[in-house]
Amino acid sequence: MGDISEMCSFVMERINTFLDMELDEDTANSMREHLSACETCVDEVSVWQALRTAIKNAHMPQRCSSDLVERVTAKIRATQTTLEIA
Amino acid sequence: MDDIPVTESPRTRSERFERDALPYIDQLYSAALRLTRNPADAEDVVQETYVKAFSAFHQFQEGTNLKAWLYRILNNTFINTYRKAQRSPQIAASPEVEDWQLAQADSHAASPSPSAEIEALARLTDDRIIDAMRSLKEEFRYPVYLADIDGFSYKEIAHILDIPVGTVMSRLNRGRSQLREALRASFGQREEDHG
Repeated sequence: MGDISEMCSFVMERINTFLDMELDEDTANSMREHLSACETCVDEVSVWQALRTAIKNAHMPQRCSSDLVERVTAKIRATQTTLEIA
Repeated sequence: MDDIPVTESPRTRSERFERDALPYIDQLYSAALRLTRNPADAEDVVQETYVKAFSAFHQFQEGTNLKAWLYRILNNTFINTYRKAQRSPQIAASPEVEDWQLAQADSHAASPSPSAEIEALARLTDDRIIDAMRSLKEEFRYPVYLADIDGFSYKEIAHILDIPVGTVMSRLNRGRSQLREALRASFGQREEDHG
């Protein structure tokens, strides 16, 4: 673990975009190359990854009530009938 | 590849809509619950979303992203009809974090080691994380929900929130950085609690 290099700064600014898989391929490849040799930046990637996991796990999808499914279905069919008459 | 007849009957259209759009109802409900924070209101928003989506379904291009399209309608429904009526006060973001560079700078200053931070994140209760998310301003919070919970791409988030892709990227960066800072503050509390 040494000083933060210029490349470290470049990588750290882009970690989230990298994890989102939204970087262009050339930039992503230079990130990967740096990460293969820089423990400090790998650690930083791991923290951001842990943050994402924590957010996702804290917000598990909820099942809506079967009553809502029925009401929505009924509404769609009622709208369809209106369209048929029109 | 336009295999939908121009003169699709309302019945065929509603069958296609139910088959394609209804499977997203649990995800839409979960998203609505995050916006309204109230099951009854979330159900209303979802119902209105489906009615609007069905009415506009003939305009939807098959082969494009139905889930993102539904989320866009959900978001607009919430903003335009529901929230205006509700007049809920805007929750201010924690003022101490100006932008992600600050958070980034701080992560190299007085901060836990990466392994300690990862461990602390994994130990946080869901409520702590939900509260920290809610402490973010909407403009930062919504993109984080859409990216990290619903798994949308920047382009999809841009479509849903009607903002440029570059704005999605910068708000995601700021939102996640602010969240990280907010959660770090709660690690501190825990340590003090345990003396």
